[in-house]
Amino acid sequence: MMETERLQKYLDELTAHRGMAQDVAGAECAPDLQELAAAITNLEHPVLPPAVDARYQAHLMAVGQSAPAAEPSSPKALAGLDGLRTALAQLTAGLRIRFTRLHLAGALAAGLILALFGVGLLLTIFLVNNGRMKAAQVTAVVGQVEVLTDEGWASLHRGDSVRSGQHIRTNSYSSATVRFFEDTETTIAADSEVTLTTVSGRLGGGLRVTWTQSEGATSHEVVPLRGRTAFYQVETPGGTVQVQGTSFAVAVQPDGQTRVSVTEGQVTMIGSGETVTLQTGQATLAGPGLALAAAAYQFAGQGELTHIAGTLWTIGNLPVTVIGQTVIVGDPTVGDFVSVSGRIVSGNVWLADVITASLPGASSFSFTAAIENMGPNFWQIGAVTVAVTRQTQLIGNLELGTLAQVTFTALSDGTLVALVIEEIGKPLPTPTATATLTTTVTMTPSVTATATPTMTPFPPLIVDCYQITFLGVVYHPDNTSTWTYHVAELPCAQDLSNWMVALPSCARSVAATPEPWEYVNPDPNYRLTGVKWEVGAGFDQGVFAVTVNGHWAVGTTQGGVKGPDVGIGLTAGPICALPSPTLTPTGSVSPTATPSMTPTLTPMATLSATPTLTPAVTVSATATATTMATATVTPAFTATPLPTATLVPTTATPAPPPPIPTQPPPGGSSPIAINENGQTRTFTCNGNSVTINGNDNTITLLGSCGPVTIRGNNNWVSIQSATLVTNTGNNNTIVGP
Amino acid sequence: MSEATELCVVADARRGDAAALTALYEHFKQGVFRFIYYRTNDVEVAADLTGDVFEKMLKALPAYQPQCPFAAWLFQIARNRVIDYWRHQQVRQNVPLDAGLPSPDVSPEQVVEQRLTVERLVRALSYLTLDQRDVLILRYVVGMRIRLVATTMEKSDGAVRMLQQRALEALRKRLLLGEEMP
Repeated sequence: MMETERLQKYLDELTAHRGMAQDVAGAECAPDLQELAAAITNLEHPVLPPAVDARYQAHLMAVGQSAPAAEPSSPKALAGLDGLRTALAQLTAGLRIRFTRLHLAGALAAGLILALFGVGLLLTIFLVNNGRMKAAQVTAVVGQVEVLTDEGWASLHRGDSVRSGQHIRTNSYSSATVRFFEDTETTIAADSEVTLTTVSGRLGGGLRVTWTQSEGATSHEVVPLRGRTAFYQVETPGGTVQVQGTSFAVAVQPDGQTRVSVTEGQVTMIGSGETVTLQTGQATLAGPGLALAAAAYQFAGQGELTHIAGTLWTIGNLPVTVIGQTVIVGDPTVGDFVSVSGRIVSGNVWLADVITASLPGASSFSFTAAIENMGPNFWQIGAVTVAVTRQTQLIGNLELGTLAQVTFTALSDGTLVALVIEEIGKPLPTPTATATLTTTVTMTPSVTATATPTMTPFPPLIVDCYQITFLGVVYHPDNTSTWTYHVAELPCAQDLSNWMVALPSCARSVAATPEPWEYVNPDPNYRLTGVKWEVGAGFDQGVFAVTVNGHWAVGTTQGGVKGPDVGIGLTAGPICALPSPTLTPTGSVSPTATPSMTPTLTPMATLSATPTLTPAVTVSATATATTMATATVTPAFTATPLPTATLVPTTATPAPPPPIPTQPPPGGSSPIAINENGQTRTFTCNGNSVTINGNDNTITLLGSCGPVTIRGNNNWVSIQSATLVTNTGNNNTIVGP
Repeated sequence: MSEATELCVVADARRGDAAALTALYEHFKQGVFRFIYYRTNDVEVAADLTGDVFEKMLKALPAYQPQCPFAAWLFQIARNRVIDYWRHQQVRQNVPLDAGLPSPDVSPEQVVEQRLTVERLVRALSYLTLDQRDVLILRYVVGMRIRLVATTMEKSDGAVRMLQQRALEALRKRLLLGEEMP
């Protein structure tokens, strides 16, 4: 081998140390292992302790002092050496050594001069700028990171400065960390392009930073800003992110779609003329031509992609909704192991933002939300109900309202089993929606009360020329609720074979109309669990209702239609969350109305509930004048189509409650025992003890129960109140108390 | 010593050029330290042994044969130093791969956060064979290319590729299982 070739090879090998991250996961690795390899490379590996480092350097210098002087090189050799010097200069990250043929004394003298010069230069810069800082320092570089200079792209190294207007890009498996004073840090991930548009400030406060992120991912650790003029913001194609002190991440896709997520603190995102405030654990999505998405809690995880049905992907047993905005990296197919990150929107829809290939392994997911209910076996965290088992690790001070990160796995029946629930803080107060109850009483000849909360009705779902419209929910006193839908074939539709609405695990159907219907768990075609109706020939439209156990909030669920093909989309339905404060206008209304007067209606209603007016309201109205009463309800409530109640001047006639499709409870005061199997029954406890020995039952226990003991298996038991709940069976689902 | 060899910084270092020595040290110090750290799981020991490696490098430089890439030569010194260390410690440094492995069928309850940390990597590496560990550390921590790893480990490129594949698979399995120490 020619010496020049050997030298070039040598340089290549040396350079490989700097560019190691470029091929850390070379083509010889499978994609899943490439990710692991990249993870190893990207770890923050330990470093040689500085004190030891300094000692060794001194030792090397001492050895160099005692060594003979270097021999002079030929001009040709020096030309070749320039390349080596360049390579080494890049390799030594912050150590700028000019290779000379200096004797050691010369080298030391030069080093001293350089040091003095450097100190003087820094002092000058500091004085000239009156203590102002106009650059950030690069504190870490992995792989190949470049900065755009007047002479083109140049490698960026640890210790370099980045100034206003400079453009930085990172290659694959590369990253850079930039630190501002006061320890604010920005990390630029692989395959990213950013510009440090603004950087200025003064020691002691007043940091002003603007990043412009055109592509890729960044994360930011912003120390609380000081001073009125301080700011830290990231401009993206989807809007501007502004913070005062927090940890957050920004990911910009090539098409400009921007995802902002908050690790800790609070972030304001401004885009498309709208402003969204994100709290810890929340994320939003924006982009050119996209409306700024509402703040939603984020989730992430991985699992095997087992099923794709239209927009619904099943990943690790978790149904995830994939829409046009979802970024899918690669071409994952059923059987692949994938990672997914997204947001939990509209109550309980797991909307995927990004799906990528992942390492095969066990499935698990995590999300962040506030704890809203803590039952013996199930907790409601945000809008998500998770099963809490003895194996669940509970970390921190977990109580109602605690902001928690939940790591869970999804079982095949849809149950989400919490593996770890960890406190990450108390949720910050969030802006609350306002519901306005406007009650108008018309006295001639009758009084009409209309409740009009501010809300947005859920839009109809149109799939494959079939339209599903949610008409509303009625909450019954027996702790059941009826959910009604209108389904119609549009002119473009072929004959509808059947349709279904998905129900969460907490809401078990106890009745439905019209026949024939069935509870499917899950349906083999839709892969959804819920109620399915078969429709006969000649069907063009109809109203369908399902009654479920429990009073559940209105959220987003999935509806499916099957004509020639199966289509699935989003519609309104029950979610495993308690209804927000219920507006129950059951109370006295005064004064008494007389036909010749316009009465003032003072609703003595309990404004402690969702402003969903149940038709079965009981309003005793005695009015003497017409009034309009306005009540403000806080916090937010779930939108529901609202009925209008008509009040008779003297006494309002309550609408009759719909039939309760449950079996009559055994009366009396004796203990309740359920020994049958496969029953759907509702009991009123009246303080009695309850024992469930049977299997596969759906049991609703109303009122106050004594000790409830479940010995059977596969039972679904809803308990309103009990002194003690003991579950010695297997695979029982217990909701409440 | 040929003229071309004199061009490279190693040649300068061999002649005692302080700047060249410092450059070599600066370039390789973290790689050597990390290689040793992941083989010893002890920062102090790794720091001490790193000093030993560069000390030995200084002494051995006159005997260095430029036909061998310097990095490979240096990390051979590091490997030998670690082997000597463990020999004197008389402590088992390797755990058979199949020792204490739970079933690969991980139940949901066993699944925990899979984020890789240095600590998890150290623990997981301890279940790999010495060669598997070395290839992963040299490839992905130090950042060597296959050819250089092969030279360092005195193996063929193909052997290193195979070793790397199996090492990654073993590591992945161990990480997914939680890599508890026996």
